[in-house]
Amino acid sequence: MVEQDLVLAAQRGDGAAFVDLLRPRIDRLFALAHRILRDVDGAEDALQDALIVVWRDLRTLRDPTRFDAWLHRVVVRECIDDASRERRRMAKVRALPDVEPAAPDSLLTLADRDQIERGLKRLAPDQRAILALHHYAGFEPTEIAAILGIPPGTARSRLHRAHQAMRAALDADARLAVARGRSA
Amino acid sequence: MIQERDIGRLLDAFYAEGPRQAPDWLLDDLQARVNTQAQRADWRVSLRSRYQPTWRLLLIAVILGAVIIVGAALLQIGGRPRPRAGPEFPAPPCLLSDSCASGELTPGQHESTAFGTFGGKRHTLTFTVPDGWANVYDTDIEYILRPRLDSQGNPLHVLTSPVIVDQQEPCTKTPKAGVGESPDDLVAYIASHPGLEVGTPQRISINGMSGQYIDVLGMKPDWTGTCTRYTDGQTVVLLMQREPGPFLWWMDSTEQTRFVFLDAGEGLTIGVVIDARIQELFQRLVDDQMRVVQTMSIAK
Repeated sequence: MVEQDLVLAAQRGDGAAFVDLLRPRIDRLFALAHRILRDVDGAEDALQDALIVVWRDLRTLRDPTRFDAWLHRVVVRECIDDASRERRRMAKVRALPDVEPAAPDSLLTLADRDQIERGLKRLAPDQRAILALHHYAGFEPTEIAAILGIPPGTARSRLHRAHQAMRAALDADARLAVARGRSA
Repeated sequence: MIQERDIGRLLDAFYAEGPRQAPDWLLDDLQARVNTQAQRADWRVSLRSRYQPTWRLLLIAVILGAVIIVGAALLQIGGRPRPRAGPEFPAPPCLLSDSCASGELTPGQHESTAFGTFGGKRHTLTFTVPDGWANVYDTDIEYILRPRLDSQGNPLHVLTSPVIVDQQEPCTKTPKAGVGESPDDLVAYIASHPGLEVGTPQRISINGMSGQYIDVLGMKPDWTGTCTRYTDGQTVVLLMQREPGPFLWWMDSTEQTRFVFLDAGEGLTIGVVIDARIQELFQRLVDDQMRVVQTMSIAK
């Protein structure tokens, strides 16, 4: 059975076909959700919820060849919504996520990682999502546009603004560190 | 201060770390949940699906035929003149916000699905690609091809009715008054733009479409134009489209771009943009992508 047939079978209510369809994708989706939410538990929850939405609404997908873009859209949307809810609560203190040991030739120091982690937490959820789509999943702005359902120009400008926001967040973090150093 | 290019490198490295494997229970849980969770009723969406049973297609065709005949009869009864439109054409199956890109393309000839609606007619774009190309965007006014394995992101844009933008902050999409829309007008404007270093415009003819192309090779160091709504630093904002759409082409100082403008007849100008974000790639990109451009034709 080719992939398109799996989509069609799942649209007809075949749950096993749906799970078969997701099996080769689940790791990548989970990793993407984790990169947006920066939290393992949160990524699991968001992915679980998103996949049920995908199943429930699968018949609204007009073109089975666009399943992947649509799947990513639902997952990213769920992550953004979860992250937004999390920001509104502003109460739960999160530990740093489980990070697999860095490769010996990692470009990043521990200080770099901490700084980026703090920088990402200053960003809006949709900015974190667009950075993860581009820098983790490797999507270009035109593909991000298809996934998010926005024009390519908008995707390009949002990516640019996310980079700007990240740079501002890191600069702010560096200034804070300097200020702390002075007052110490 | 951290530069933007450094941000990209840092994030690439940062995201490469971290968990990559979903827990096993996630799929098991999903399997259990889909067994109890009903899908939403599909009768409304199934009518929009491109995958229809034959009986339903026949029924729809009969109903549509009846509606058209009755509608035409009513128009004649009302004494209204019949529209003098060209040959009938199917409505584009994709809306602007819902691209129907084909994805990976097999080597050989292809045509656009949605691209090319102009003046109430379809002007389907036909082209031939070698192995390794993909169509990543296809709407009625914009079509994007990309070498599938190009990790640098150097797509080939094809668009209808490009017009010059009036570059003024806050960088809204406003056509520049007084500049024509023919290939000659567009190239002449770019060639004389005070902020751009350009090559010599060249005349070109592709499958019955004549026009010109021009290479933008850089930005003049004293250019002070900006477009802060979309980007930082010195910027030349050049193109938008006559039809409302998302396309807005600006250039920053790191880009080199070839603009090809072709007269497709009946007042339709086709624009092709080959863009190199990394200048060293420009000539190679132009060579590769012009081979595809040379095969393009517009079917009317």
